[in-house]
Amino acid sequence: MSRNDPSPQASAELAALDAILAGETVGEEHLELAALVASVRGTSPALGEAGRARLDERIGKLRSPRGAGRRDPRRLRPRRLALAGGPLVALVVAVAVVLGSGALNGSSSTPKTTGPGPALHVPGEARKAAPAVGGPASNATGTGSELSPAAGASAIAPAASGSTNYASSNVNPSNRLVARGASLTLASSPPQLQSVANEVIASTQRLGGIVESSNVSVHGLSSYASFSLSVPSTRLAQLISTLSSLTAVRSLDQSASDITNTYDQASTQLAHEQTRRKALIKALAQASTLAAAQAIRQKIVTVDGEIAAATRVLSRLLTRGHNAGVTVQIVATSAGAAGGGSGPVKRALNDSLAVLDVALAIALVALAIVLPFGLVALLLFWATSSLRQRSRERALATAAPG
Amino acid sequence: MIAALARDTDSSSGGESFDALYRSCADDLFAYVASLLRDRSAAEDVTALAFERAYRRRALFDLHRGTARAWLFAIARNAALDELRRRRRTRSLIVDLADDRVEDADDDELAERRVLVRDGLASLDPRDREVILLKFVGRLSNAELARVLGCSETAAGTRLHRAVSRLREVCHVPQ
Repeated sequence: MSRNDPSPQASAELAALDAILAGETVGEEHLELAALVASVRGTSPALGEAGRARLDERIGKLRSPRGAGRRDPRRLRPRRLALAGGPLVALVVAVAVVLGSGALNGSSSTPKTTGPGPALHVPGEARKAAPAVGGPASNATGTGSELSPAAGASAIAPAASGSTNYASSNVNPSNRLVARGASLTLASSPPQLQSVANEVIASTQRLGGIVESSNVSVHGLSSYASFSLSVPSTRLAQLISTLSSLTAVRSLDQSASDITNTYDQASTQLAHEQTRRKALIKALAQASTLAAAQAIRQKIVTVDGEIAAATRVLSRLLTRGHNAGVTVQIVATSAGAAGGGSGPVKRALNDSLAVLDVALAIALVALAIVLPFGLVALLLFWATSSLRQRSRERALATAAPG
Repeated sequence: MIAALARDTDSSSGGESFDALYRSCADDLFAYVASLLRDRSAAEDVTALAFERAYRRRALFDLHRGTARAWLFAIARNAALDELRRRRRTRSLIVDLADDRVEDADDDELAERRVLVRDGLASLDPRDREVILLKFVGRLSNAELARVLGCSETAAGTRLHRAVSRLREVCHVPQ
């Protein structure tokens, strides 16, 4: 029995008290208690008819459309405003934070850019990747099974970007010569591998390129195809886009190398040799002896060799600038992994997961904002409630006698 | 009625349950508040205010935390104590109620007894007096009393019994 538990006699009296108040008959031993209850109730103020009428009128107004029971929609209470506005502000901030952090860009599956240049943002899939040209040489790589077939050529970003102003042609307006290359690995189901291979060749030729070498082997899951392609640099992006749309992309590597300096050196060398040859021709015309003429002719043959070599170097460099080398490999995988049949579903699933990912990120940030404020608000509410209740109890203690 | 009040929105059934609560509690609530405030006009205001608050907050009423009657008396108690606080701050004049119920008593013995009880109540500690009023006038069960006072049912019973004993003592009623 605890300290507060009433004694059996007290319990009996309390039970009798409840019976008296309920209008039930009690034993003789509790009649005095019943009289006490009646006296207390008899001394308590009664509402009276007039008071009742006034109260009825006020309570009746609660039901009227503009009564006290209706809230004025124009009246914004601070507490309501805080309750509604706080989470809203937190949500807006969370959205801003998440968007600002680039979560929507799907950084986890973004092909990484390597090389000395500035980081290139490549949205989503490797088919949208563009080589980042931030210096003399750079490459952009996209790998992984998450890569899916491209939806269209428009997804391809411009071939070069950044502060160095490389153009998509071999020599851009600021006379830079850029050699480009790409390596693409596609995945296809064995039955489709041959048709994909055919389409690789057809696409290359449609874009003015040539198939330098090809190797296609169809043997079930060990089927394999590889190509070495050359296309005009201006159409490299288009070719990658077209090939990416054929089937699932396993990996994509792109590179760009500035060969302007090499080209300039070769040009200078050629000009030098040509100047030297002119000088030798002039000396030959003025040769006074047969032996001297013979020696000059020998030198001219040597210089001609140098000129031919320099010309070949220049030609090779121009070819590298004009044409991009592309190696394509097609590997055979099961139909599901290739993504050929379930491409749209897989993409939809990936998109849905991405949306959920972002939503979760927003919710987490919002929670991180709301939680501390909510705890502080809760503490303040608890403190003010306690203080108010204490104040009420003090008011009761100092109330006038009844 | 209580369950209906818990579900009360603007539906007619909810309105009816509130009406039933009003009809069953208005007199007792006024008597309790008036005994606390000793001011009929203020008691009417506080009683009306309690019903208004109950009506506005009816969606927050939780049946599992007590009856509608206890909930209403708790609202009225807070409103009455707020009124007492306001008076204490502004030092408002407290107008005593006329003892009409005492004067209305038909026989002298009853009138004398009521005066004795009234004086006995007045001499009690305010907290004891409040427990007596909530029980005798408000007709709350011990569980409802506990809900209004914010204590356990056992503690409410103990406080009540102690207050009744003291009232008996000051009224010279044999125990």
